[in-house]
Amino acid sequence: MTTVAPQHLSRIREIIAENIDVDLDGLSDTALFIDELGADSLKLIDVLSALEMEYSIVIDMNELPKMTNVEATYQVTAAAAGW
Amino acid sequence: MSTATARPEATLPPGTPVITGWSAVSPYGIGREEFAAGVRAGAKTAVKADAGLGPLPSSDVCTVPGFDIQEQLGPRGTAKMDRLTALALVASDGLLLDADGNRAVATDELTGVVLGITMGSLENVTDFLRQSYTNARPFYVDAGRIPFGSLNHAAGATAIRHDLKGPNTTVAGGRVSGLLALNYARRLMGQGRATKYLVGSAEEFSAAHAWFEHTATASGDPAPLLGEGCGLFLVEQAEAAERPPLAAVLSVETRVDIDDDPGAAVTACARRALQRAGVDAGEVWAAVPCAAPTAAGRAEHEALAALVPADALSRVPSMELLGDTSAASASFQIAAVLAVAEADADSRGRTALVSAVDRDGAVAVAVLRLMGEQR
Repeated sequence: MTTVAPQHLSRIREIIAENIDVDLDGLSDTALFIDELGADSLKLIDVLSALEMEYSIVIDMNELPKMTNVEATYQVTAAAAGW
Repeated sequence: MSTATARPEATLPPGTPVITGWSAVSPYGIGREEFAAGVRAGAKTAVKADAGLGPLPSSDVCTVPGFDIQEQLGPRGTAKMDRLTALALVASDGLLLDADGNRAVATDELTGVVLGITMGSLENVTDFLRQSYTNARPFYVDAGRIPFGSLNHAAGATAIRHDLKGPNTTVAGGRVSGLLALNYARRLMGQGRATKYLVGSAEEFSAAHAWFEHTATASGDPAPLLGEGCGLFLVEQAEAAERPPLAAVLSVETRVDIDDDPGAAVTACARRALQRAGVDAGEVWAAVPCAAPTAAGRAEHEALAALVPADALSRVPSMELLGDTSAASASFQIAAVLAVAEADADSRGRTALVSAVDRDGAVAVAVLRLMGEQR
């Protein structure tokens, strides 16, 4: 099981909030980006590219549908970064 | 109301476009009243540039005072918005909404938007390219800024904000773009493609824009004092106008200066525009050149001075007061004419001529019939 590195999770949460246009305080780890927070697929691509840039990684576009909430996005990022 | 002359709108041919509203976000401030007061006072707008902009070729700028994107438009959807789009959106709010933010102008399925620009948001494009060139991989870029980098974003965002579903167009014509946009709207309304139009032009100030203009300045020309802003007009057809007309667009003519003689091109363009409008040059009440700080700008002024009565050129304060607002200039020129006219009882029924020249050789002239009541 992946160990959650708090500093990464905290930064990932900031990146997500900034890119899907929600308050950081209102961003829970399980809230669904599209169904609950009003994001669209373009904003998810913004999240993906921002994470790639932040951690100098490449996230396969096929992973995009899995990035449904903070928790899942962390898992996708961690897998790509090898954390 | 004057009863000495017939109402000028009674003599307009069917299909004549009329300007029935306007707004401006300008170096005079955010709003029409600020612009009108500044123009009538002939006030200068140059200030020291914000230190946050970093090194600039010139320390003086004519930026829109206090224009903060988030303050004007709220936090949602604006984190990565470019200044050009924000200027256009705030100007469109000023045109379509009342002071309480409620819709004051009716629109329909055929209300279009046409916006004149130079190259869009240079800051957005250069930042994006810089990321691609300097980051570890070329695709490590801020993807959220991509939509704002498209040339037609400001016009598109304006339509989305106000649910305008008519033709949506961006005309990248530099200083003449405001007049090209007016001509575009005139043509499409004439063809029945649109019932009314938001027409205008916009330019943003940024460090990237300042350095671009610095490198493009011809040797011998002064360092440009740059301005920014957006002027927007509501244009309808005379017979269908739902609001009292402020001015009728009698003609819009364009030329390209292929002989490197901008003065001759302006003269030919202005003569043709006046001829199409059925107006004698001696009848021109106000003539407003774009006052570009270039050889073409100086030639434009000389050409108009040789064509129209001397007092016509001094009726509206020089656009130099706003700085070189590039794509926004032609819309500001029209707005300045309207601002001066609405405070002058002699203006009603008179003719105004607005001209513009771009560094690439484009020339455009519009002839307007002033029709507004004095406020």
